[in-house]
Amino acid sequence: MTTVAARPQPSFSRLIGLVTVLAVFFAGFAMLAPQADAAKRQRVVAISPFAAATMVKLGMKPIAVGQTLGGDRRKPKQLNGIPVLKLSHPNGPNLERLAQIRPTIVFTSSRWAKGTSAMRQLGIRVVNADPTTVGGVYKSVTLMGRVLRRQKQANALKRRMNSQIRFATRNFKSRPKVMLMLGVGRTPFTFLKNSWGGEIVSKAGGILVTGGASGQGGFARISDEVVVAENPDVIIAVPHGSVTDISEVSDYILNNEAWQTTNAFKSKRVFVSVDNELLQAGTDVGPVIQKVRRQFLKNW
Amino acid sequence: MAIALVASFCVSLAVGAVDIPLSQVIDTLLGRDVPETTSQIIEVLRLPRTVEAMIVGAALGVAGACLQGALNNPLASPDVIGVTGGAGFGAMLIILLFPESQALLPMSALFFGLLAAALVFFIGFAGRGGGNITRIILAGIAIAALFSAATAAIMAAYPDRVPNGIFFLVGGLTSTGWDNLQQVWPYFLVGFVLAVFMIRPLDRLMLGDDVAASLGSRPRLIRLLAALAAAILAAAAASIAGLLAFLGLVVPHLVRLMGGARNQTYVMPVSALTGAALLTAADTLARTVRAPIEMPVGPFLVLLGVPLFLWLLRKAV
Amino acid sequence: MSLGRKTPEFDDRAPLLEASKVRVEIGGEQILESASLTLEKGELVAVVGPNGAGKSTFARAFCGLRRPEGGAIRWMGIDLSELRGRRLARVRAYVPQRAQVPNGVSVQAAVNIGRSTHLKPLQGLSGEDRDVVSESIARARMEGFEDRDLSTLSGGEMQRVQIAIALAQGAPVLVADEPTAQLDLGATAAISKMLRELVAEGMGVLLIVHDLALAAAIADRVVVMSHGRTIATGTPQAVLTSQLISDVWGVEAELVQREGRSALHVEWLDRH
Repeated sequence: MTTVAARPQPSFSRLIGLVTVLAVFFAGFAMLAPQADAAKRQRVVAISPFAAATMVKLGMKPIAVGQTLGGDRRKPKQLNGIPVLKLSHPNGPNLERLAQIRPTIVFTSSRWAKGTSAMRQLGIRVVNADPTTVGGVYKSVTLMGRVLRRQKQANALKRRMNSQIRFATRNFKSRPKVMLMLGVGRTPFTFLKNSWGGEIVSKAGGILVTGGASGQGGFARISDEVVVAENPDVIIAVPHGSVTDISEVSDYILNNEAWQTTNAFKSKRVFVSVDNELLQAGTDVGPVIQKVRRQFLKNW
Repeated sequence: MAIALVASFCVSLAVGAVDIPLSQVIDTLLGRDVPETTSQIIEVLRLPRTVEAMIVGAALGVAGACLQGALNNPLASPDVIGVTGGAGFGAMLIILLFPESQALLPMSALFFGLLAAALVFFIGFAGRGGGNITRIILAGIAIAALFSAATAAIMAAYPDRVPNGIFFLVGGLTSTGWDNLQQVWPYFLVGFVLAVFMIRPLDRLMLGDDVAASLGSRPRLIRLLAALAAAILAAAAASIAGLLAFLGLVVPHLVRLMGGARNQTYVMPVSALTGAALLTAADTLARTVRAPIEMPVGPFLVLLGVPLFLWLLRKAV
Repeated sequence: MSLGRKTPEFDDRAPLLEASKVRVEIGGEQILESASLTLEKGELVAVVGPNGAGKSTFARAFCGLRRPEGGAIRWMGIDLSELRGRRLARVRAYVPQRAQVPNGVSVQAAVNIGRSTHLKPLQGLSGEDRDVVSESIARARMEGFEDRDLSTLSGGEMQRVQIAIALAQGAPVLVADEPTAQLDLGATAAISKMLRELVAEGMGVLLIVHDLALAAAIADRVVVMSHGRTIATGTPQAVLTSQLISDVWGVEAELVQREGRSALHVEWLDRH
């Protein structure tokens, strides 16, 4: 019995020793390395377009960015010339190529979650930074500010976002019923309230109609009958997929006979949103809301 | 076949999206001093993936041999006992409904693969007249259809996340370091050991149920255990590499066509080698043909396997 | 090595097989009502009877291929229910009526599988096992066929391979269900001679046959079955009387036996 009771002690004390050594090491490291210096030595890869754009706003540049699916129109100019990693399912970037550029931090998206564990095994700090809600954008900015040691800049960015959103959500002239359609190939889906586009439209003073559909996914396949019955005042089609498909898909959505009876068609308020601002979250929430109000909802 | 396996293993380690000189690859494996990036690419990305390809390929080859022997049916593959449908459902459940819990994917695929097989076995083996081959196969078809329908249903509900799932459904290996193997290796082990112990009983079964019974075996029990071994191996394989049931179907035939002999003492081990070589080679192609983009391995497997198969078939007739 | 329960020893003095009042139901229907027989060393017993009398069911029951609903079956003094797997395989070999013929399997490989009953799960054949296999092939008169594929064999050759597989089991009893049913005259005679040789070596052989003339010529004793019952047993001359043949088969016939030859004189058509 005594041996059993005695046995844990050596390993326990060793553990305490280890913890102490580590604590001293990290404390020393943190004191020795001034913040700005540490940030410079970080080699950051921003796989998600959100992270890439946000880094620019925090005054930093990644060493490589992920390819933007659906066009580069929202990509900040400061990112021009930075190597682009091709992304493919399910890992995201090619991990061998990623390893080759030796990043210390990777900002990724839950879409590429499959690749996360291998990146960690390569000794990379992997941080998810691809929000899908306005609240999530604030959280991601805070997180990135902390990871990149740019808290001050992050706080400033959040304050700027706040005022832009406040400015963009004033004086609604009207509150039209809006249906947001996502075109995946030839099957359109409707945006739900919990999707990025759904939230933007709501903030822009639109009443998002979904035919009563709800779900976690953010999108739902709904019947054309529901579209007719809901009779939206505005229909915004958001093509999804590569740039070359966009015209084909929007043609299909715009020429859908079932929708010809809706108010939106009669008043010619059917639009195609070709930039990905209704699909892809960004820190430019205010400007995006403004643009949606001016171009689509006409309630500015 | 052993030579083919060694060759595909070497090529698989030597090539990838990043060009690494062969000498550095060898130095890394021998533990000599090489740039850290190089050793990381080899040790964390290529080696685990190559080992996975070999184990998964061998598992599917053995699973196919086991099932074709147990069900005395040359068309048997892990599809037939519902494993593929179940594993597909388990994986899509994670990919589509709980994408934040990627780490659970192998276990979920494994669990539902085995659950589907358990349902098939229960229907196929329980009660009077249990163990009848036709009954097992029909039960398998029904359960597989059930799980496929469920998979299709959740895919329809989460359209925007489907692309990630496609990769799993057509079958593809991914570089995840040793994570996958760490989770499922015990299942591979149990499956392989069980399969090895089934070689002799399956050989007896080949001579007919009555001869097997004369030799003191119980045909129903052999069928159940062999199908169980196949189910475990196929589910474990699916949990790592997605749905590659084609390999399980074709490899034992390749082996029989190549060697002529049909007894499991020959077919099973050679199926393991052939499956491993074929998948390793196909995965190497999938990684490199359009690098840096990785392709699903399934199509390459078919690309390699089918011509070989047809050529042997022509030669045999 | 005891697993809690003592494994009973075979009794050399007991009959090789003693089956009494065996009863079998299939799908609620009584196929076998009460069947009994005994088999001694160096004896060839033929079970005869019309189609559907339950001969094959009886054989499958006492060989342990099908669980009987009632009755007692003992192999060398041990109850069948206590014999499993390798121990059962070592006391009797069963040659089924219709053999499955896989292609791509050689005669040698098939007979090797028969010997596998003497091996532990992952053990390979020893030199001694290989000797037994060659000897079994020789006793079944299949020397020279070792490398032939099973699918290329004639019916008679395939039947001899089945017997070789059974012999490789090394059991003292060989049970064969209609081994000559699909064979021509020459092959039937060859198999018959071979079986008598095995009996002369001391084995017990149990044949299920429907050919009464053949049974009478080669069996030491016959057991007659009818409607799921064994109704008579004894030497062919004593049992296979015209009266019994008439009662069981409904045919007027007379068995004629002389110096190892036998014939069944059958009244095929009514005399009018």
